[in-house]
Amino acid sequence: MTTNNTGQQVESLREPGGGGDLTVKLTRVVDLSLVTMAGMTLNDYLQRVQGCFYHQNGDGLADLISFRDPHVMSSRLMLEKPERDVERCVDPSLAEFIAGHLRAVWAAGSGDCVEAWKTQMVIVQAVARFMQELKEERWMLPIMYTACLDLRLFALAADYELTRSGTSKAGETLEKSAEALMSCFRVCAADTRTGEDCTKRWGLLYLVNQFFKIYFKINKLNLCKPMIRAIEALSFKDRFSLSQLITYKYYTGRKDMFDSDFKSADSTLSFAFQRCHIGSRKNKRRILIYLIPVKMLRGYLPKQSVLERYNLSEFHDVVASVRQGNVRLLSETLAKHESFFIGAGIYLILEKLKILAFRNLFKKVYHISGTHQIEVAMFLQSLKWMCVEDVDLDETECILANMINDGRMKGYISHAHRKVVVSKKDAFPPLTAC
Amino acid sequence: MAAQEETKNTSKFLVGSCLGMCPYAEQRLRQRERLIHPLEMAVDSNGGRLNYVQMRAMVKEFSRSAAGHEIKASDIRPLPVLVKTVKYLLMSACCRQDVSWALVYQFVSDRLHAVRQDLCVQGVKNDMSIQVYQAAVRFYVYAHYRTCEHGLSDFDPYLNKKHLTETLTLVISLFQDQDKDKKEPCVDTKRFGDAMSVCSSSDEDDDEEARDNPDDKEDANESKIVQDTKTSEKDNVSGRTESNVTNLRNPEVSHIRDEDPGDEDTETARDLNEDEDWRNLSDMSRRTTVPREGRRGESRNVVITDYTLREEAEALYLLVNFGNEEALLHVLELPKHIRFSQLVSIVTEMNFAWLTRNYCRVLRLAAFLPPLFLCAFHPHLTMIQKTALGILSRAHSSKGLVYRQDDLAAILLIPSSQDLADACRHYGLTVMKLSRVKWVDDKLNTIQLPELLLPAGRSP
Repeated sequence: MTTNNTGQQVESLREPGGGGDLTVKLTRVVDLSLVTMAGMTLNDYLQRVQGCFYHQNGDGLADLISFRDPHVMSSRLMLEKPERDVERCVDPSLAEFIAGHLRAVWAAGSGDCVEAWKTQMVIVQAVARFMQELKEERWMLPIMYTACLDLRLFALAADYELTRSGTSKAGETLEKSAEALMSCFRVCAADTRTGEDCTKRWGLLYLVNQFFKIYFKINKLNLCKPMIRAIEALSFKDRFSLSQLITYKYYTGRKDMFDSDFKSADSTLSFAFQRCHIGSRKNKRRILIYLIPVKMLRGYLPKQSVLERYNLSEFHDVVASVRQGNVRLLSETLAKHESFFIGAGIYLILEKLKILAFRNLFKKVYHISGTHQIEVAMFLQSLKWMCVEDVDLDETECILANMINDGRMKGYISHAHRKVVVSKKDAFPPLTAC
Repeated sequence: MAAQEETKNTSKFLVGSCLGMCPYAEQRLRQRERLIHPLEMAVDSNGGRLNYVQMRAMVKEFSRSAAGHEIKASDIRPLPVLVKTVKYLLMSACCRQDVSWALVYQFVSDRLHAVRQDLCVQGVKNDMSIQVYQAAVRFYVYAHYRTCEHGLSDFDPYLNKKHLTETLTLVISLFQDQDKDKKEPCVDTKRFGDAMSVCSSSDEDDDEEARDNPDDKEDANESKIVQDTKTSEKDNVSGRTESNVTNLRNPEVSHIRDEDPGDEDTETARDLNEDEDWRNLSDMSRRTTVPREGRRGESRNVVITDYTLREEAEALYLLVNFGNEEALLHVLELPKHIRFSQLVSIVTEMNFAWLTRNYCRVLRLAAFLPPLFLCAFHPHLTMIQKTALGILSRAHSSKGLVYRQDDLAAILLIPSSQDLADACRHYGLTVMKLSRVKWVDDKLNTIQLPELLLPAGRSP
């Protein structure tokens, strides 16, 4: 049960779908219930809502406002103006978002994702108010999770729709959704006086992950910083559910990578990769796309078998070229898979791998020459052989100087003699030591 | 501010009705309150300034839009008037020799701000407005270089940089919107030219002429101006900042330039006189009408002579944000024909080279840049030279080893060995007599990151 749950949650790293796996599986076992759910009447639905509320069953209520639950198939629940019926049957504190949900079901049922998104915005804000009214309780957090997840998914669809029709700019819809999420965030973050066991701050990580997904999508990484600060300040930041933690580490690791903090990126992404459930291959692959370049920069090359297992053939030649010091192959590979690397946002990092490729190339030159005093011209020849464009002695010295400066090579350059004098012992220290 | 204005109501933008460079109400107010900039004052027969306005020289001042202050249509200038205003500012006001450059800078920068504000209030988003914005960008870039040695009272580099990035980002986002609207990424060159010709015929007749016959005579004239500017620059600008000018005369470069002398001169002229010459704009539109194929076919080694407005903006963006990975990512996502255009690809390559701290390549490629772009690059030059010196001093650290100063100066684009000696001394490297440098890295390690960025720290 727990493992299944992890897999399911982690699955939601990806865009849509995954969240409802569990429910779908269960309903498939009891086929009858699927039929009844899909044809549920309004009264039945509202009674269930009221029942869940009465028993403080957050998960049950969450399912009842989820779009990955079979009840949304019921044509009897697709109501444009359900307010009066809803108010008659359920608790007034719930009425607003339940009515909103039915309206969203109607909008989604009629294929109008922009309207569905707008309604979902209202729902999220209503949920935020609902949570604020219930002090010292946190059973309702699953409701917030579901509402926020649905909001983001609808926003993605609506964003595509609105951009295509030219009504708004790409990402604008998502940005507005982030504002709505912010209302929930405020309620959760402000709940500081309640004890640890029932504070709503437990909901923060899920929200932050939603924010990450939005901000990475619209490329506003700078907005992630206050979110990270909010999480890092929590006393129980390590005790969230593993699935949420993995998502969080995945995004913070990526952010560290963009900030060129490779050491921290390495540890966070490694955490995410090692703990990620073995069944969620796609997520593991996703993490690897960032973990591999970071590890390579720190001097660890991935095994061939890993690349094959996770279908990362794009990296195959990258790894080979760095290993062999084949700068030409590296340039060619970067150009070949350019769109993949740019899309993943790792192009610049891979470009930095050229330094390592140069190092391995020069190491070979050193071994071939067999002396400790090597002509710069020899290095230059190797670069020319690797098709580095219009390179000259000065630039070769520049590359060598950088290498010595970074501690990747021990020795010094004599400009007057155009020679490099390398250390007799350990001229090219292992990269992992740098 | 721009964003606010734009989001409000896209359909209901104000349309300006002020037909002069300065609204009448403001003229009276500033006359009464004696708020007249020296450049707007009337001049008597002896050349002395009189404290009353010269009506035709008044230009609307920038004033912050405040709450409760209603914006009147009579205070806002429509686009054609704004074009005329920018022409006046960049062609006449900038060339004034009778007042100090600091005053000129202050005047032009403030008035351009007002122009940008007017454009923004009216929500003008077309090719013409992009040209106006881009002209402002060029001024900021140039002014940043020319004014960099002035004190804080004359020139606030932070503010100028802020104006520059604000306007430049706006230009780029306008281009991106165009990409989306047209679904065909290239600027509609024909309409571009038309818009310009309509405007110039109505505004400035000489300009029209200049646009129509770009003959050799004209080129010769322009190159003469360049030389003048160069020499005057040399007088004004001392020491390190000269490197830009000098590197233009770098033998290698000039050798390459020889291949295409006529074009070269115009190019230099065009850019060095960036601030003074509105003609650029029309030049630019003429340039855009050159068929693309012809430009692509050119060999890469020739100094860049031809680029579109879009390429110019993107290249400037990369140079202003040199070393910024986000800017680099933005360029990687550009449409191919822009990304691989001569200019943009050189600038991209410089950025890539800097990723691996390949200062040698960065500085070598910098020599290919037209002057305007060197101005944009210039603020980063010292940082690069400093890093390079640090790397070099560690890599060459061995007692008794020497590095020829002249060689080093050539690589680092430092104009003379004397300047190099100064720089080394500044960073704590010892310089031996007979123009040689001895590397002592321990000393370098002890110095803190100097507060210096060109050129305040350089002067003792």
